[in-house]
Amino acid sequence: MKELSLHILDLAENAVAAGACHVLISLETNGPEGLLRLSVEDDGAGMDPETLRRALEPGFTTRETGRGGNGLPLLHDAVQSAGGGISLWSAAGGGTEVRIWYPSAHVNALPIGDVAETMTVLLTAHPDVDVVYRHRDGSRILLYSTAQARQLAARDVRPGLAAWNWTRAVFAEGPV
Amino acid sequence: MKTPADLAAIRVAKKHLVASRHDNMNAVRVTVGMGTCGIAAGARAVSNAFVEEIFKAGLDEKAIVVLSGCMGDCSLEPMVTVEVPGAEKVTYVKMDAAKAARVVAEHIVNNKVVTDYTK
Repeated sequence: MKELSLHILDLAENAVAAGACHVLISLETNGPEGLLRLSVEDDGAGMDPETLRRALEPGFTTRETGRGGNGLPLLHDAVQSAGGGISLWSAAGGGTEVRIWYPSAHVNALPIGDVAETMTVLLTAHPDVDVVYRHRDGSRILLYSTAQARQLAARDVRPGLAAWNWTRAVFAEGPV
Repeated sequence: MKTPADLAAIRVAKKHLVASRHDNMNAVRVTVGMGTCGIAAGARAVSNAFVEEIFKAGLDEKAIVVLSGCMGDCSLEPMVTVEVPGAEKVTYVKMDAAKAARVVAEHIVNNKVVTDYTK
């Protein structure tokens, strides 16, 4: 996948598939270390130690339908080739946290890509999940929540469209 | 700025509103495969295109877009199924945003399956 925002979507979809009601995505750029840092935390079912140990193996999945098991390995490969790393934390019943980091200036650094495109998908497809996105870019910040978008649009004649448009506007403005 | 507790309360309070729409058995149901293979093949743009075209057609309450994991044939991604109440489920393969617009206009609005994009 060519953009970090696509991996974010993949990680968020994993979280929703694990039964998460809340997904917190934190992105940090232009910090003092020159690193891009991303974490995706959820309150889903989590993984037992054996599943966690094998989570980066290509093709390993606990799902019984379709194929799968390549999202985390692909992300692992991408951050390694960009001179970065990945860490996973999870506990059965306690959710999961994926953290990655890599030097922003590395020749193989993944571009962030279109996060708004990712958020509109999550906004419309998962009405009962709150996805919070926080991007700290140096001293500026962008804070967005799908639940807040839905709340702000709830009284509109067309709430779905209003939440969609508000989401687009927040990301068009970017961190402030 | 809202706290996580505030947001959780909002989610619970509004859940009946969103559930009513997503649980509407009379709605046309568009399912986009959003597994890793689908995302890598362009499913994100396809999902957004369906939603935008549904908004443009004014079908907010009559058609919903939901996601699934891998649909089982990664070489045919992005894959989409369209379920019109009372009709057989139709599977579209190798979709893109332009194809999504055509499926909304012809299949969802005019109830005519776009056989050019079926498996």
